[in-house]
Amino acid sequence: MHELSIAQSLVSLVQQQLPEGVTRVTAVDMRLGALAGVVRGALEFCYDIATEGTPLQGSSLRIVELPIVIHCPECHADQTLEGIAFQCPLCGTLSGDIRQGRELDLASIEYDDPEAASA
Amino acid sequence: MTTTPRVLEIRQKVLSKNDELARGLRDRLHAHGVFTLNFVSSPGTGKTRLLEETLGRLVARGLKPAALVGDLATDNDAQRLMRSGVPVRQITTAGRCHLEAEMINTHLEGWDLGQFDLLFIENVGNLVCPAIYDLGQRANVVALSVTDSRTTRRCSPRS
Repeated sequence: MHELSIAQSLVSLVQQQLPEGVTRVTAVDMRLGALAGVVRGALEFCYDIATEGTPLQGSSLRIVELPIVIHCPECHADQTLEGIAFQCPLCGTLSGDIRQGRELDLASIEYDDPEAASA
Repeated sequence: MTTTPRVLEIRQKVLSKNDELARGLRDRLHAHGVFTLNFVSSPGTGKTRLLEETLGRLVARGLKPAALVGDLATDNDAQRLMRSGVPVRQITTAGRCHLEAEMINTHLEGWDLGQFDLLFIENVGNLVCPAIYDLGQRANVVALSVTDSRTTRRCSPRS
């Protein structure tokens, strides 16, 4: 259960990037690979706890889940996997050449801009 | 008061702070000539036993290893490893299921890295989250027990 540490890292990363004067974040967009070792439901649960008392409190966490993509050396092509058997779905060749699926990325944030409002 | 919503693209890894610390550690250890290994396995596989044996043999060969050992609670493992006479420090994670680069940094404080040839980091017994936190190691060692079947390995693909 490391989702709470992950949620805390996410919150501090957002706070670091937040333009000066911004007091309210409304949404956080994340990219989550199937191999990131993070359970989406657990992360969402921990997000509410980790954001409490921060400018992120009450914001929505939007997660885009990314499947595993491996490169098949036989087909010379990237193949999307449905499960976690590292095998080309077309020809059956085993491959550990992972091209997508490890993502645990903060993509973007949405926030209320106080300067634009007062202008 | 009305406010205007704004979007800010960030595109950073959530664990970028850990990764940065780990890179710094790796450079520092390398600069001191310390080869660092991160030991992972399921609980009870025998990481500590393997390390006890390894440390003893390395000392007998005249090498100078040190070890950091992570556990949720107790310092039993550090006590065991200390019998080899090697400098050992226990990292107690207080419930966290993995080690993070910051814990390694903190627990190396006060050690003269120039004295060591090798640093062994014994991670918390778990094949899931230890696989995603870089600790500044040069390589990982995964210990598998007989009961860690093919199925177990498939269940923990990142390790």
